[in-house]
Amino acid sequence: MTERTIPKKPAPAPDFTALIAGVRLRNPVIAASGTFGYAREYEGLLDIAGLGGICTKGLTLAARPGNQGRRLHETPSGLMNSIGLENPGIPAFIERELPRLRTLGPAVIANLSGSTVEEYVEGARLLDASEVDMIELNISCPNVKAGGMAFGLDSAAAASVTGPVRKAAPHKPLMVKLSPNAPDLAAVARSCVNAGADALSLVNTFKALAIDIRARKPVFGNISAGLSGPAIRPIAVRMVWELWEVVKVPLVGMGGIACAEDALEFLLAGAVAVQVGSATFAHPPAMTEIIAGIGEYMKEQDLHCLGELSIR
Amino acid sequence: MDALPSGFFAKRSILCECTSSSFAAGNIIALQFAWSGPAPRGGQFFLIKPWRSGVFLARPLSVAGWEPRGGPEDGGILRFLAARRGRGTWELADLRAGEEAELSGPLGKPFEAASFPKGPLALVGGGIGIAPLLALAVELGSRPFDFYAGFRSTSFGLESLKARSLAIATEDGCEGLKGRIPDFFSPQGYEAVFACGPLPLLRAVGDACIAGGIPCFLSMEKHMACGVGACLGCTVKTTGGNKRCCADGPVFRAEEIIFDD
Repeated sequence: MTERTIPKKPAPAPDFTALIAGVRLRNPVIAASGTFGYAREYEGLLDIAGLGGICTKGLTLAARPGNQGRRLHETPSGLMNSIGLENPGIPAFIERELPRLRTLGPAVIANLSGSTVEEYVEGARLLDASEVDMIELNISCPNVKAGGMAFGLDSAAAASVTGPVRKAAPHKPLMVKLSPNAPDLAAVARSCVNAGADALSLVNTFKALAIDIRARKPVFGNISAGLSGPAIRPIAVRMVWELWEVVKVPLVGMGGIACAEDALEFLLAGAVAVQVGSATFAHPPAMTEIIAGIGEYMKEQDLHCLGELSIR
Repeated sequence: MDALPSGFFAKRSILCECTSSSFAAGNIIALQFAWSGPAPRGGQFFLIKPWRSGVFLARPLSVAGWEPRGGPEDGGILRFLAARRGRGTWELADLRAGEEAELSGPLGKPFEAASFPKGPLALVGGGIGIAPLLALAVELGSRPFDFYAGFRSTSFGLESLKARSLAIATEDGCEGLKGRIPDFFSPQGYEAVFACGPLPLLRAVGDACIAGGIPCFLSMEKHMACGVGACLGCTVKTTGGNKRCCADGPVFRAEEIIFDD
């Protein structure tokens, strides 16, 4: 016995386009800064061309050697790092890495870091004149002695760097990457937006400490280090949820995303896109699977564009 | 754009079947996987993570052996030696034939023995550090080489080694010479030396080779996260600045390495 059904019109493929401050991403999944090098390192291990965007390693005006000693420590469901912004400097990045990055397809987001406002501003000028699609202003690196996270901990300090960088890079969309270590994250977020941020990304790593009980001293030379990975995800989701009520600019969520379900939590909480970091270390094709999984969820929920994901 | 060496992109992440897991000695387990990706070279490594895993990161293991099935595209059997050290390596040691693990690789730069085609070569390994040298030994084929292997108590992994001579030293004297293998090694008469093992071994072998003017290549070990050169977590201090153990190495020229730990 056969039952005849009228064949349903095939549902149109969900519109995956994510829009962040005028930058159009083919999908909402971005490789997080510091975890994807300059992309070519991962060639062959996942579909790089299929990513929405790529954030570069944290870049400073001049080359930096990074921190001495131990740089990594694994924790339950997480990873502590103390790399210390090792990078070739912005001019070398623009000359040697950017031309190749541009050819890959995903939006190129330059993560800008520094120790002083002057250093940030000079770097922003160079990036403004380059071919990057967007600047992610890093005021949240917990692993450098000067600057870095210090700019992200209170609203006055955040404005003191966001404003001048905004002026120095008038042609590029500016996204500020926030630190979860700020005692009043809402105040820092408001301050960044008032100083000209077009978008906010959150969260960078949590300041954390591990002790080597055999050596009877801290694992890291800088004592503390930054914690990422699935362990921090629920806290990061809560922070995105709360900031959605505080600011009106697009939020890019991150923190421990390892699968599509994790990414969807951020998108439902109001983020317009997500970044995936240490999960790529643990499982290189993670982002490719996350992109596919978000699409499947949208079909299953009969959602037609990314904006419909948000429950806010 | 600078040209990349050929084969640079030839790496894959593949869920593989463990085809064999067996006790080797002490805390050492021999593992085999069916691998359908690009062929590895001696000195290269894979990131390995059991499909069912309670740790976050994969573990880097040097290739100890590779048996191609047929042509270059047909895959083959990868062999590894794993030392149980922490939770991650315990999981690897607990893998049973038929279970699956994700392997990413081959990663890093291999030993380049082909650059030294004339005289005999020496391969010096300590403990689990013999693994990449076993893979190199197979690549050397009929070329003459001597193998020096040091262990804490009993030897392992040397069953099918085809060396011109094999020197074994154990720290407790249970097998072979009593003491540490660098004490029984001189680089004189070798065209090049390849070594892997604990830092004191690498340092001793490297220093002896530098003093004797013999080219020497050391395979370094560091805690790694990405394994591909992206995270900059596995820095090796060299005379040319910080280098990435995973991508610029793990094989380095002895005179490059700054031992200061």
